[in-house]
Amino acid sequence: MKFKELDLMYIVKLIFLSAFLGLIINVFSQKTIPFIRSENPLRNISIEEIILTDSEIDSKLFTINLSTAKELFESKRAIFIDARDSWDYSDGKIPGAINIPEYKFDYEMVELLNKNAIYAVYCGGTDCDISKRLAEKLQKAGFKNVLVFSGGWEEWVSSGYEIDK
Amino acid sequence: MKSINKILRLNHLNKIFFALLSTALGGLFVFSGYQKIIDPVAFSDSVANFRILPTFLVNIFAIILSWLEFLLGIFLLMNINRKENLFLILILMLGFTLAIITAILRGLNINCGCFGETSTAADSLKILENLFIIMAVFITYLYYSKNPVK
Repeated sequence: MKFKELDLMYIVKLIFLSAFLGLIINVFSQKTIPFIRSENPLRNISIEEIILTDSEIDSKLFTINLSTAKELFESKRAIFIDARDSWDYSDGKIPGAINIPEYKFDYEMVELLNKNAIYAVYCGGTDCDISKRLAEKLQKAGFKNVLVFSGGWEEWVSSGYEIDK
Repeated sequence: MKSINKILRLNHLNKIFFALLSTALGGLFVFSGYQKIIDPVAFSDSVANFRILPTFLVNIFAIILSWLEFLLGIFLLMNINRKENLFLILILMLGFTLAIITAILRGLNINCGCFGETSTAADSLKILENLFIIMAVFITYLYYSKNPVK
């Protein structure tokens, strides 16, 4: 079987045509997307969405606000994970939260945890991003429902909710 | 080798068979490209979910890919540069399948993004479907390589 020459110029032109059309349509269409994608600003999810569509959390990372975190806490629907190091954790944590310091995360630490449960990961507050990083690592490790409580420890404490020392 | 040459021989049945097959493939790609073009948000999210490309490149890639698929389908249906189109389609299908395999190996539970809104999971069933398509594209490519149509 002979392998005949392909018209490479055609292939190059086709790719350019696709890029050109894509560019034009994207600029003028209603459903435009940014050409340079930025790291996902996580979408916030409400408690109703969590309850109704909990399969939708799969593989997407969502943030939750304080009231959603509170609801998850009171209804015991989510397990809280403290992503800070163990010294901060022992100084004060959300009651019942387990400590998985992000900086030394290892798959072995979490392999026995239920991958289908709902987890809410937090760290200090809006200044730290280790909660998001830990959440991403957990997702990669196969955890299906991981939420990021971005307000974190600061927000929890300043609203006077119960804490564990 | 002899039996493969038999399948690829230029005869009436094969002419019709491969014409139909390339039409079906063209239609498939027009459809899948179109589904991606009309929902660029969903498709770019799907590409991002694979976590293969660096984030900043995802959208450009998604835009070009969706139009490339669509145009490949159109030109295949129009019988323009068949061999090149089939070759590109083969490359794309191999790429997609590889991406899905790596997603499965990394334990990602994502949808394949194949048909926009109507996509299904990036799982082993999808790989099987893709392998069928790859085989179809490959033999069609071989047929038209052997029997170029003018």
